[in-house]
Amino acid sequence: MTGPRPDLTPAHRAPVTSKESSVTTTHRRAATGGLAALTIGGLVLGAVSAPAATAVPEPRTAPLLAPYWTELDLTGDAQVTTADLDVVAAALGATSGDAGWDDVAAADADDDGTITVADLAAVSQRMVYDDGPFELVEASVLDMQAAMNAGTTTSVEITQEYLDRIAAYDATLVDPGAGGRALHSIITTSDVALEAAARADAVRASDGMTSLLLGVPVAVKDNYDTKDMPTTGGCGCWDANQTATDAAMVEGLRADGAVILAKASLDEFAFGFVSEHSAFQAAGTSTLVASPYVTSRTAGGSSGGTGAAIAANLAGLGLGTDTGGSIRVPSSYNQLVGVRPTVGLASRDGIIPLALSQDTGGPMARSVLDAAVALDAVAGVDAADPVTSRQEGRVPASYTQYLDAGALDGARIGYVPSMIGTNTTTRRLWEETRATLERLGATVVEVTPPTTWSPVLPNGFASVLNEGSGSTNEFKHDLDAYVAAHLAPQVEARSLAGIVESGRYVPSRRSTYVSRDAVTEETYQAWAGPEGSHTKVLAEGKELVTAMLDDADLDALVYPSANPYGTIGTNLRLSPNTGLPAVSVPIGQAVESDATVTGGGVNLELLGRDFDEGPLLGLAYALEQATHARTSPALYGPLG
Amino acid sequence: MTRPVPRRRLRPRAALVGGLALAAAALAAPAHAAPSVTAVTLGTPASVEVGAEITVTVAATGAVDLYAYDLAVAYDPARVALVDDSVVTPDGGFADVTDDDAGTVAVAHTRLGTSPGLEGDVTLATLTFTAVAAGDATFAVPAATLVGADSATVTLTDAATGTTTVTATTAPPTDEPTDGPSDPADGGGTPTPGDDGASDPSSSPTGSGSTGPLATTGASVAWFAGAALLAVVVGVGILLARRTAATR
Repeated sequence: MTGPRPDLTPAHRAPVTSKESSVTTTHRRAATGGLAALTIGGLVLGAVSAPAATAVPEPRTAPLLAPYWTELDLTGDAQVTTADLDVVAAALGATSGDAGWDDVAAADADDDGTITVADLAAVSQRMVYDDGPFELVEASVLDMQAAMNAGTTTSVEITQEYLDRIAAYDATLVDPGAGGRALHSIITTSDVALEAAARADAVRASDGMTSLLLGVPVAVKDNYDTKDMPTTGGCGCWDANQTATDAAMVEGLRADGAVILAKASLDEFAFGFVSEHSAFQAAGTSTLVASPYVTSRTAGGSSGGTGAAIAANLAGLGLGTDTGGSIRVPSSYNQLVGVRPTVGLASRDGIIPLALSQDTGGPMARSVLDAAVALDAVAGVDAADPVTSRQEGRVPASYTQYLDAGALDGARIGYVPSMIGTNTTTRRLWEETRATLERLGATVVEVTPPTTWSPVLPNGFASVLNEGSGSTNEFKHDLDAYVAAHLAPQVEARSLAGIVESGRYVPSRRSTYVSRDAVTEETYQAWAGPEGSHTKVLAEGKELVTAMLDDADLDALVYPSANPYGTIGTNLRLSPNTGLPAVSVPIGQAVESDATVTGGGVNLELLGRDFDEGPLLGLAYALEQATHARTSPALYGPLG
Repeated sequence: MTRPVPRRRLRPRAALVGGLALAAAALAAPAHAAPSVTAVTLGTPASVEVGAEITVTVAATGAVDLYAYDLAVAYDPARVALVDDSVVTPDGGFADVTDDDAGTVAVAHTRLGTSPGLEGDVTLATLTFTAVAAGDATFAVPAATLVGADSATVTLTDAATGTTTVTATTAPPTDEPTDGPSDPADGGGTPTPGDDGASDPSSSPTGSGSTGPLATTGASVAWFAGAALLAVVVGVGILLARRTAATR
């Protein structure tokens, strides 16, 4: 692990310009205090504490504060339950002229000045409960909780159904079309997932819904340590890596009651964008992961297994890792919401590293809501990953607080034209999305980034985007640290050289591993040490892009994460080369008239300031709710 | 059906039923697809003896997207009294019952969360009364408000009526002491408080016997979204009653 890197002050900087000269002062990021009062209908109902925060921008309202809806909470406990229905029922018939109206006005959901049965229904609809038919395919975590709360299903049943879907679909060729392939998105399924699910059901029976993840099956990329499944990194050389502990982020999931269902396949050691792996395969062989939408195409990478599995509804949600695009590429290829958090939001301890200057772990999910819930579970300070000390006091009580369908109203969204690219599908979807953003009340601002900045970034923004990946110079160094701290003792290949000697890896990777094994400590220090060149670029890159956001008063800078089954220039480097957070959200698919890859998805990436995951998720949620752009892969519907 | 819903008592609101009777049929055109029912029926036994229980069933046929509802069930307080905690509504929901002890029980029920609305033929409420004096005990559903999952609302008036004839008891007097003139078990035909004495228990048309066959006497009316007239008086009537409860 590397320690936190010092912020560096640029020697000089050039101003950022935008085509919209009149910058209003109606900025949505106005600082608030550490306490956010939830005010609904003019009645202060309660307070939610943010942990000693001074920098976390709190939302204006909090419709959902996981695990409960808080909108129309009448009892001040930040949740809507039958206790709130009792309040409404007692007030039925009250009108705005009554002396005690102020006490019950918040229950007047339809704002007609009278408490009626319609208001009772409106409050009731904020309860997490659903006794209707439950369909697992495309179910959100909220859908699952509502069905489990109503007794319509259980975690055991949901877990079994996902296991059944994996068994039926993952290694099966279901696409009759030319070039069709099986997904191969899962490396290992848990032998103890059903036991964990039964424990979750018992918790619900005794304590109720303790978390929106309670009993929800999760697939994590097979570079996260799990104490009940081996962690291969996608490499046959590490088939025996049954670690004694969980990765810190997996611990967070389990603490919230999630069921760790499976280990998802990946590009071996999280290197590339095709997700080719050799785990549990004969020496000299490897397997590619397919996208469930166009199975002749890659699911992307390196978190391609997570991408394919979550898109095909083989688990409730997933975790990926992203060094240079590995969450956002498969999220875009598989129509998922992917979050690459600020470096430092979540601990990387127990994750097989690629380049710790850039490595992050984050959620990949079918909805912004699911991603926000997962992010709640995995964010945290961990002494084993010192960079996480940066986030203290900068994490909200729940990212679900920001999920407001009106979040784009008044927002300022910037874009750099050159980042849109030339792909027909992507340009069409960008234009549609731009119109949607404006219809939702956002101001879309064309930004001209600085062309000069400092000796470290002589070409300004271009220097940020042109900085190469840390994986070349950091992999050996960081892998050695993982081996020392986590690799199971029974694994024989305990270094890059050992991996090459084992012969158990993706055959085409040999030269890469050999060359990276040759990187010296001096080279590493000159690159990623405290005064290393990469360290300086990343630190100044963060300052440059933050200045771009500040100078144009932007809430987010947006650009497409990818084209249909293809990347766009250097877009993916912006987040890793600045350490700034990015949320990638579906905006549509290629159609035949585009003459690209019909059915291929495109995501819009929203990049924000340090630890701005909450506001970014809010903006993404508003866009998602307006477009519902994600589709479900038709080849992987409900089992018969 | 769920377990009985505890009732809350209202102050008397004698004007409610009369006011409702003046109302026209149903109501406001909803902005979206509204909940609907083909008919509301009210099931009552044909006759019971004084002291016996009367089960009144309010049901709907052909319900579509019925997420919540509010029923006013009118009864004759001179002849029957609601049994405490006797009102039962469909499983899986929340219900609230208020009784003004003067002739109206208000029953509110809602489904929970994102659950779908009730569909098809459903029993909206089962109420148990005790017969306290001989005579024809009339029951009615003078007003009902239906709410769909999309919050669209439909109000019905004079949805259903039913009558149970309460007969004087034919059993021989027991040795047990009577509690007073209002005790329905005394069987003496003594007018209960509030009874104007007009009904003569001895003139009840039916003889002894317990609960008779249900007589479904509900009006069979189809209500469609936006097809009916505003029932302003009905709404005001229910709301006035609710206000009474809310301001106690």
